[in-house]
Amino acid sequence: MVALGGLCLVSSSNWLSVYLAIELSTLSLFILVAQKGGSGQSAEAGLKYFVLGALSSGLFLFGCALLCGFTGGTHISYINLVLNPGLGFSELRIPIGSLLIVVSLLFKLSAAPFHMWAPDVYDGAPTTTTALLATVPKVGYFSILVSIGSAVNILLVGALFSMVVGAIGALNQTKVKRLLAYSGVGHMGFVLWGIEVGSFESIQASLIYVVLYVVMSICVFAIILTLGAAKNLIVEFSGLSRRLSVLALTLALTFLSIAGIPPLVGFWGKWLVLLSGVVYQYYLVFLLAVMCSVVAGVYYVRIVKIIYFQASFSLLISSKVLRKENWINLRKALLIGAGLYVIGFTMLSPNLWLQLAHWAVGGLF
Amino acid sequence: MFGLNNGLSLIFFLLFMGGISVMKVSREDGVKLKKVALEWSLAILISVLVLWGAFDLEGQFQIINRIEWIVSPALNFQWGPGVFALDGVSLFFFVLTALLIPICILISWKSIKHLFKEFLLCLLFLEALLVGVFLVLDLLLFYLLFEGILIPMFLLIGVWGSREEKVRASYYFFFYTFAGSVFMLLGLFQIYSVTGTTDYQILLNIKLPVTTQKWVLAGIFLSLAVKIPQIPFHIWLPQAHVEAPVSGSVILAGILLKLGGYGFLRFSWPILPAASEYFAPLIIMLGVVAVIYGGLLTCRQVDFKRLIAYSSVAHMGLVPLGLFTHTIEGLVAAVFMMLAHGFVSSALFIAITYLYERHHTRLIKYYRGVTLTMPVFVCIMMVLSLSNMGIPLSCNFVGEFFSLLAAVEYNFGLGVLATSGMVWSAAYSLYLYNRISFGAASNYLLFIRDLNRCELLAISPLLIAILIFGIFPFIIIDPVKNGVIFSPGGG
Repeated sequence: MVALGGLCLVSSSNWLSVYLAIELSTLSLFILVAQKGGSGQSAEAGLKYFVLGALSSGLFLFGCALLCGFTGGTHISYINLVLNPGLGFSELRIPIGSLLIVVSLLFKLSAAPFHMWAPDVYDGAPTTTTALLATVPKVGYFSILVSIGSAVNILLVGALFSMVVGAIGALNQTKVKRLLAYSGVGHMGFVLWGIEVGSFESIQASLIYVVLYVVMSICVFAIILTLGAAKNLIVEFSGLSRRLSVLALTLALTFLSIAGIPPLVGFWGKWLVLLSGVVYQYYLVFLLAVMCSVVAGVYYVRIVKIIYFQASFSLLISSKVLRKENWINLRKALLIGAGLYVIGFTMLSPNLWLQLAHWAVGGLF
Repeated sequence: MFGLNNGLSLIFFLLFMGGISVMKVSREDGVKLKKVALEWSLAILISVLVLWGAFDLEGQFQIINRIEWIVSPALNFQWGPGVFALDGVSLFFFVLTALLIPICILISWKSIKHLFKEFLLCLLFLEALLVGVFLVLDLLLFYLLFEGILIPMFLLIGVWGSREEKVRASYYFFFYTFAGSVFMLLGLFQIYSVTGTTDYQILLNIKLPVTTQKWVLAGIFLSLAVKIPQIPFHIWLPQAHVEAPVSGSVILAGILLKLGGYGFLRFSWPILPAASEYFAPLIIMLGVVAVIYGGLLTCRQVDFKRLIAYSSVAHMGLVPLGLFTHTIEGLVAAVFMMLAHGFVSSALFIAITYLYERHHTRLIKYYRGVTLTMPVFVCIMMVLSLSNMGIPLSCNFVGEFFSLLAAVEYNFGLGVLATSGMVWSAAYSLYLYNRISFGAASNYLLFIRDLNRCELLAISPLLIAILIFGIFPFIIIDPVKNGVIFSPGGG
């Protein structure tokens, strides 16, 4: 259902159908988040997601109502045409309407300052659902944000806030899923910046960034699922390099890639977005962004440190010894392998990705 | 000539095959693992030497390999092609890299206890990146490889380091470099957005606006100064050296520090001449400060690995000094100094680690009278200490002589100040050698074997290189001079 909702979302060009698609996917996500029976955390996460999701849906609907009421149509392209700045409407309803819509989309993207739900929900939900939550909706909402157009300054505010919050919030986390939630916030900052710049290359860059982020997240979540850690604490990774060396290497490379260390692929997304920013002379934003990515590097590198430098954490040894040796099943192995392939080798020849992104963005203009 | 143009591809192919064949050996079979890695790295060294033999001493870019990299359908979006080529300047760094890797494998033959396979793979990966960095002629690819070195080096310090502080040291290393190099990234993007290319050979013929040049050079300076290390940015170096395993120290001192100087050589005068002119007094002054202050700092170290690390800071101060005087002597001296330091300082690290492995302490005051127990070691140590302070016949002398000559030509007072650095280097080298070797033998240090054959063989190529290049410096100077003259900013 989530996938169906996401697909509808991507392909719809009408505010009403967009709204329906959003509701379809979020409604099914509510259920998935809360499905872990007998777990207080899961129920709490579901409730939080539900309440905030309902709030943001309300905002979205209100914004749509303002826009549609003013222009008398529901097609996105139609509204964009009517609201063309050249026509010179100076009506208060238009900026408020688009502001509300963008705010609600930022809610759904978990961009700061509307990110409060993300860490709790990511942490409370079952890991498979978290993986779904972290990947599928982001692509969908991204496409809607792009099609609204970029003339909204709140995107830049959201981008800056997200970068800072993503970098600082995750520093003190002990649970890996909360950390990933904050890292997602930071990455959404980069994506939003790319949308805000609004040139052809920058949107292409953002698209590539989102796709790469999704690939890397899938890889991380697949590994977390494979390890089957009891509490999803970061310290549970300690000593991994001695037990499962290949998996440890993959996890370490994935995190370094998310941190944006070349020659791994995560750097490529950052590179494209930053470049498009520099070309349009956003120097201060650039400085802030790279500072944030250096700070964010601290906690990714900390995970690598825990994987490689620390021997097994003494309190956890017993539980590790008691648990039987779990073999990685084939499907997960294939998924992780494919992810690692993308992470490690895309930099050698990224032409295919560029070509695809070029076609995709070409459709927008 | 057959195959010469494929020479560089051959090196990368050998590295790749070496990696594969190390991976194929089982983890338990330690001896075979070492042998396989050593054989492959020696094969690389031999092919590099053959390339050197075939090198045309005119010094221009040659053996050029073009690799189409990113070609996007949009015409306004093209990166690369990645051009890999050798010239008189990069040739010797290339040789130095290929020489130090087998030595690293030899000296960690016994000392690395766990995860040996990963260690070897790490070294080979590092070698591939380093070779790439020295060969590549595209600014962005240079940045990519430059940053990529962080990953294996971080693991090398963190995983195989000796004490608990290794984590802190590897963090220092990682974040100093990372934070510095993002400014370089900004500079490169600025170059790209002004000119539309990052190809070095094209950029050589483009004149950038002066304001752009200044900002770009400031960004590049921040990242390269961390690597050299220039004096206010040097804090990470002693930490990283002390905690790293010996092979890590050797690679750090021997090759990684040279990346900074090499980057300056490539990027400052040739493509940013106006900005280099503008910043030259500042950078030269920092160089002099590094020579004097670094020398004084070195004199008061008690830990011998730290002492050699600080002596690296002091010696590397001469590199920007020579470079930014912008005379032929200065530029050649910078390259020669880096090479000489690459030989001497790596050899010192190796020698000192031999001592550490026997006695497990790094404090100088615990040692005396080692002459009685380890005569061979003391002989080697004497040669190294003497060349570290730049005695004639050692290759350090040539480098220091030329860079001081350039400094005196640039400004007499500056030359005098820089020359005082020689005194400090003599002071700490003799102090180190004297305290360790002479005096009545300590009771605690008796009954220790001298160097064995493996250890002696591992260090001897460096000793021979120090003497040969000290006596016949023109083997190096001619190609370097030609290379420097050939690039438009030189001379």
